[in-house]
Amino acid sequence: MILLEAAPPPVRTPPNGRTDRTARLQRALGGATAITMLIAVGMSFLYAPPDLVQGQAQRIFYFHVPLAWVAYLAFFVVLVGSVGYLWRKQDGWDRLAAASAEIGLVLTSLVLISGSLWGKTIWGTWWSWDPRLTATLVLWFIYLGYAMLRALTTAPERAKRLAAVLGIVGFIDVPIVHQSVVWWRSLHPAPVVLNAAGPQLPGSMLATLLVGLLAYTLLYGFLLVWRVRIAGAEARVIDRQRQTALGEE
Amino acid sequence: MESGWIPVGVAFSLVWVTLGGYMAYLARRMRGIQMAEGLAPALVSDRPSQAPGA
Repeated sequence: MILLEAAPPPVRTPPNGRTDRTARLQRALGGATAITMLIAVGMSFLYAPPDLVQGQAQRIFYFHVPLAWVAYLAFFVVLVGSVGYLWRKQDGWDRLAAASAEIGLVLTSLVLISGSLWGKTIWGTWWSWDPRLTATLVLWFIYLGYAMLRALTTAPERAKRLAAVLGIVGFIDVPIVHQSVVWWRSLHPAPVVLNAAGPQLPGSMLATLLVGLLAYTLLYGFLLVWRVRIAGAEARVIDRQRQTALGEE
Repeated sequence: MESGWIPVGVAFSLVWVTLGGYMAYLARRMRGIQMAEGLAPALVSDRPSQAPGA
């Protein structure tokens, strides 16, 4: 009985078929991303007309908005993974949330950088404590805190639980970021697509934006599958090392 | 060239340098973990080495 209790946990090695499937999915997403991204970049630089007011600088819109959209999506996936982990207590949900949070943090950084460059060109300032910008910066700090919590908490199970709670609570800021331009007076333009009156863009600009949204969503899917595969492989190696260590005792 | 292209070019480059850097980081991490798992192709060639004097 004592021997049974001391037995190491089973190694979580997925069947080879599953590993192959996720690798194939990653390759397919990589290919689809590359093709769609080339079209999106071509459309944003060559097809879409310059804006009447902002001129060529408005083209930042074609990657700034898709980056913001996929950052929202990434944090929604963190929410789903966090709820899944607290409910089912399965590490797969936790790995999904952790992977998506890391990608979301990178994407939000790019939203802030591209927005700052755009702001300098159009508003004449790199930064303004405007509701949309401030709420986005708060979002960035929330998920920076999430990453630090995971990195610095020494008890892994406690880190997963706390991160899941933060992943759920932190998502509250996403609708605040989106609605900030509606709720408060803001320098930042109001939504031009998800608008009560319908899309406020000419057809060529709307088509370019929609292709960009598709391309960056595929890129997010590609990065997510890749990052989850890495996390899964790392968990298997840690399990194997633990098993070896227990076997040597 | 209209000056509006400069911020577009700078922003686009920064976005893709960052994304490229992140993908390079993921590739390095993947390779490291595959080696730890014993899945990566061996660093040493499979061909039998030629013994001196053989």
